[in-house]
Amino acid sequence: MLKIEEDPSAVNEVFRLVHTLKGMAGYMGYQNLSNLCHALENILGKVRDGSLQVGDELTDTLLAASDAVDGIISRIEETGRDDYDISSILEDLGFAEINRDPASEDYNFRVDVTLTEDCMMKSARAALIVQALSEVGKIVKTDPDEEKIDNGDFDRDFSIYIDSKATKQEIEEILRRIGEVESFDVVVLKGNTKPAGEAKLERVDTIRVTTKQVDTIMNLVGELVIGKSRLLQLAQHYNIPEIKEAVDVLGKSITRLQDEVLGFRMVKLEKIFHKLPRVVRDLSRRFGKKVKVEIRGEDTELDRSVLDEISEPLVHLIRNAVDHGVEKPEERIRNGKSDTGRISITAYKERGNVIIEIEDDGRGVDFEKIRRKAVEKGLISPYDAEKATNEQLLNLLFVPGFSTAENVTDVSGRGVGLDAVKTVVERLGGRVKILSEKGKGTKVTISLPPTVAIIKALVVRVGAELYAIPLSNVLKVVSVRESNIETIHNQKVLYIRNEIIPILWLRETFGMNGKNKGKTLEEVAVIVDKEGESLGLVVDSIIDRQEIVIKPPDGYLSKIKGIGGFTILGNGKVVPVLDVATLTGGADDDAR
Amino acid sequence: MPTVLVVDDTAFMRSVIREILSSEGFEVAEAENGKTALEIYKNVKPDVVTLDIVMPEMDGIEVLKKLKEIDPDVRVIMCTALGEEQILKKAIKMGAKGYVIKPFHPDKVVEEVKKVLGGI
Repeated sequence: MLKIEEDPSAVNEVFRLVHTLKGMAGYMGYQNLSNLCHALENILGKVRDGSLQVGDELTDTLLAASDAVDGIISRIEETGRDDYDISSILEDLGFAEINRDPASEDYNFRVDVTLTEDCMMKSARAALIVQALSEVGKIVKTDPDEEKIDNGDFDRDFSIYIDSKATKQEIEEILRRIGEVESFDVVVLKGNTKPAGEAKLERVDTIRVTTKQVDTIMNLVGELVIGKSRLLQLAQHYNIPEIKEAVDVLGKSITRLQDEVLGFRMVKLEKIFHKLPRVVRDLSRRFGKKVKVEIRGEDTELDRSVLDEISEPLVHLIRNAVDHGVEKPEERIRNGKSDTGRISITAYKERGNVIIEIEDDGRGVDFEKIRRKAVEKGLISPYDAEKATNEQLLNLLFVPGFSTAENVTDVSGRGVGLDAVKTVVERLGGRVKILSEKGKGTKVTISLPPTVAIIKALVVRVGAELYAIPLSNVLKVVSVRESNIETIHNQKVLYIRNEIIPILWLRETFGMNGKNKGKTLEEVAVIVDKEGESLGLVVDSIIDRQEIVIKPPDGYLSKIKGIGGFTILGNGKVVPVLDVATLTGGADDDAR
Repeated sequence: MPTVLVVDDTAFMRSVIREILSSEGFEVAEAENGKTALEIYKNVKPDVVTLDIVMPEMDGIEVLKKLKEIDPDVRVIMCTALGEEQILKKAIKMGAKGYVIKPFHPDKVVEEVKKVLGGI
C-alpha cells in the first residue's frame, strides 16, 4: 500500500491481491471481508485509471482499510466469523451503503462484471445484464446503485447482488451470452448454495502445522541428540567401533532431521520488516517529520519464536529513531542536512548469528545530557560521569528507568525503551550495541542467534560439577595464572595483554567448598560478554563444545540467579546452563 | 448455419448488416417493416432478429412486443443509435437480448449475434 505513494504502478499489484482476497472471501462466505475488499478494489480501480489522485489522505484511508482487513482476518482465525465493524472504513472508502444491515439483505451470488473498454452505452449494457439476471433470480442490489448504473455513472466495473436458485454455472452461461463483457466473476456468497458439481478437488501441497507441533518435534529431536550422545559414550566406554560407526551414520540423519525441523521454524524477517515502513510513516506524520525508510536483507531468516519476540523491540527502536533521532525538517535544514531523514534497517547473517541494524541520520545522542541525567538519577557519581567514555555513557541508556527524552510522548520516552529491548534480546541469547555520534546519527545493532531451541555451548567443569555456557556469550577462553591476577577496588581482575577484565570464580558464585588455590595445574577463564563488557568466569577446565537443548527451569529452580535453564548431556547428566545476563548479581557479592 | 432476420426500413442498413453477417456464414433474411417482419418470423423461424428501433408505422418496440407474443423465447438484437438510450433500455426490459449501435462496427455486430445465439 505504501508503495503506491511512491510508485503508482504498484496499484496494479495491490488491486490484484485485493481482488483475489475478495474472491476467496466471497467463496468462503465472509461477507464483511468481501464487502471491504470490494470497496477497496473500487477505490484502487479509480487510482489505477487515474481518476483518483494518491495523497496523504487517501493513503491513510487505504492503510486504515488494510488494517481492517488484517483485523477481520485475525477475527476469522480466532472465531471463524468475520463480524468486524467496518462501517466507518466503508464510509471513508465511500461505500457506506454496502454495509447497511447486511442481515436484512438476502443474496447468494455476487456477479462482478467488467465491460470491454470500447463498450458504448455502458448503462444499456448493464441494463441488459441486470435484465438477463433478473430472469433467473431477484436482483437485490447493485454496486454502484441502480441510479448510477442507469446514468452510466460508473467505470467499466460493477457488481450485481442476486438471490437466485440457479447454479453458478447457469449464471455464468447467461453472462457468456452477453456481448461487450470483458470479464465476469460469479461469486457464491453463501455456503448452503453450493452448486452441484462444484466440488473440485485441488491438489494440496502444503499442510498447516501448529508451532506447538513443531516444538514437540523439535523437543523430540533434542532427545534424539541426547540419545545419540549416550550411545556414542557407551561405544567409547566399551570400545565397540561398530557401534560408533553406526551411531555416526545415525548422527548424520539426526543432524539433517534437526536442520529440517529448524527450517520449519525459520521465517523470513520480511514478516516483520514489511510493517516497519508503515510504522515510520505513521510516526513521522504524527511528529511532522520527513523520513525515508531503507530496508535491506528482509530475506534473512530467523526462528519463528525469536522473530515473534524481537518484533516489538524492533518497533520500539524504530520509534526511538523517528521520535528522538530524526530532527524536524527545519532543524535538519539548519544543520545542513536534507529535510528528509533516513532510517535504514538492515539484516544479515554473520558467523551464524543474525544481525539487525537500525540506523538513523538524526541528531544522535547528547552525551552531556546522559551525563547530567545519570548523575541526577544517582546512577553514577559526578566524578565517574566526568571520566566516563562515550561508550560507557551509551551503556547507561540500557539501564532500567533511564530516559533522556525531554518530553514524554505516547510513543517513546517513558524510560522503558532500551532496557526492555536489551532484556528481550539477551533473553534470546543475543546482544545489543549502540553507537552514536552527536549530530550524525545513531546505530543500534542487535545480534541474535538464529534459533533458541538448540544452542552451541561450552561444557565446563567447576569442582565436581559441570556447567554449560552458551557459546553466543563467549568471547574467548584464556588460561589464568596467579601472576595475571590483580585486585583493583576490591575486584579481582585479569590482565591479558592490554585488557583488564574483571573475573569471578564460579566455584565461589555457586558456593562450592574448597578454593582451587592454584592446586590444580592451571585454571581457565571463559571471557563472556556481559552488557557490552567483558567478564571472566574462572572454571577448572573446559570439557567439550557441543550442541545442547535447553530446558527452561521451572518452579524453585527458576529463581536461581545465573542459571538460565538445564540440559541433559549424553551420559544422562543434568547440567545447568549459565545465564550470563543475571550472573553478575551473584558476582558482585562474591568479589572480595 | 443459423438464420438472422434483419429488420430495418432503410435498404442501405439492411445490406450493411447482410454483408457483415453473410461473410460470417449466416443465412440472412430481410424485412423492411414490422408487419413483414412478423410474417417472416412466423414462416422462417429465424434464430435471431436484428431490429431497428426507429421505423415508421410500427416502431422497434412495438415489433418486439409482437414478436414476444409469437415466441416468448425470441432472440432480438436491437439496432440503435447514440441518443436512443432510454428507448433501448425499454426494449431491454421487454426482453431484447442484445443491441448494436449505429454506425455498425462489423466485429461488434458479429460478436453480438454470436453471443446472443450462444451455443447454436
